[in-house]
Amino acid sequence: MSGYVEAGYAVVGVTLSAYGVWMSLRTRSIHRAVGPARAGDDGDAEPRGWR
Amino acid sequence: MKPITPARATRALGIAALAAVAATVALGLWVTPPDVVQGDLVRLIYVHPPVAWVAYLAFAVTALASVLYLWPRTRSLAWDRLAGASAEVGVVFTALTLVTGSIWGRPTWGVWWTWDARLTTTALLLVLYLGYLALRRVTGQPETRAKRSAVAALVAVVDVPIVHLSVVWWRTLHQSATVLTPNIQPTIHGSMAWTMLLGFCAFTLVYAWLLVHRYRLETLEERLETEGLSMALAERRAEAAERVVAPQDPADGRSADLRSADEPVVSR
Repeated sequence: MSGYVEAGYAVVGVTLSAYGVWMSLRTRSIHRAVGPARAGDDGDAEPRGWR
Repeated sequence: MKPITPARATRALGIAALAAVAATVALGLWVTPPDVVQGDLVRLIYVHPPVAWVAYLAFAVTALASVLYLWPRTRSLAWDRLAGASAEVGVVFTALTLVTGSIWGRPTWGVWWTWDARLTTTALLLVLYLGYLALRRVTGQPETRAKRSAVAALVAVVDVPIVHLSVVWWRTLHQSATVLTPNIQPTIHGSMAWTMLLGFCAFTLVYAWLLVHRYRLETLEERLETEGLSMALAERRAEAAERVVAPQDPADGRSADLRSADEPVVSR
């Protein structure tokens, strides 16, 4: 293949992975900042961030 | 407020998205044949139109959630959070649409970028939603912010049909629609069509997974914003209370931790 095809697939994969990791890290950071979530909060669903 | 999906369902969604993307990559890179005209470059269409579709979908969800926020009967900040979460995911996919299109355009057209109607309206779409996200960051009462964001989302979404129909309305360098043609007759067949269809499903699942997580993050950020100040005040009060109950030096009547660090402690 030409290299352009691989580059296109790589850009999509890397960008979406980086976005997912950023969300996970941000979620953890906020959990640390606000402390343990109250029972029934939305934050309870993902206390460890990445799933 | 309850989670929008249980963690198990979210995990299943993530696994399904990952498996669908892996299958799309395998079929797109190694199973489908090269095109008669485009050669191997055709493999980029298993990625580029699906990410563009997700951008459309994300902005449509943002517009719908904005309408539901503005509608008095359904007004809830949950719709505003959904609109914001979907717009951010949409911006990521719009950027990917531009980049993958540019990567395809360089060997096909000879240029990375041209001010073609489709490309220009897509770039405008990206700028509009970056502006929308910036507007959401402007401080203010949550209700005021939600209302002005909802109006901005409804203005920005007007560009979505313009982007899609730009290849019909104007003479452009960009090829016309392959699947979502005006008469819904796809111009792609066989294993190429199935792989492309799988790509649409795969990236839609990825969008759904990202949206669920971004929505939760949006909820946490809102909680951090609203509770941050009260938590800081509570901490300061607790510290003050500790100092009051701390043992005091009978000589000067001050609490031990109120003395400066370099002040000598006199033993008696």
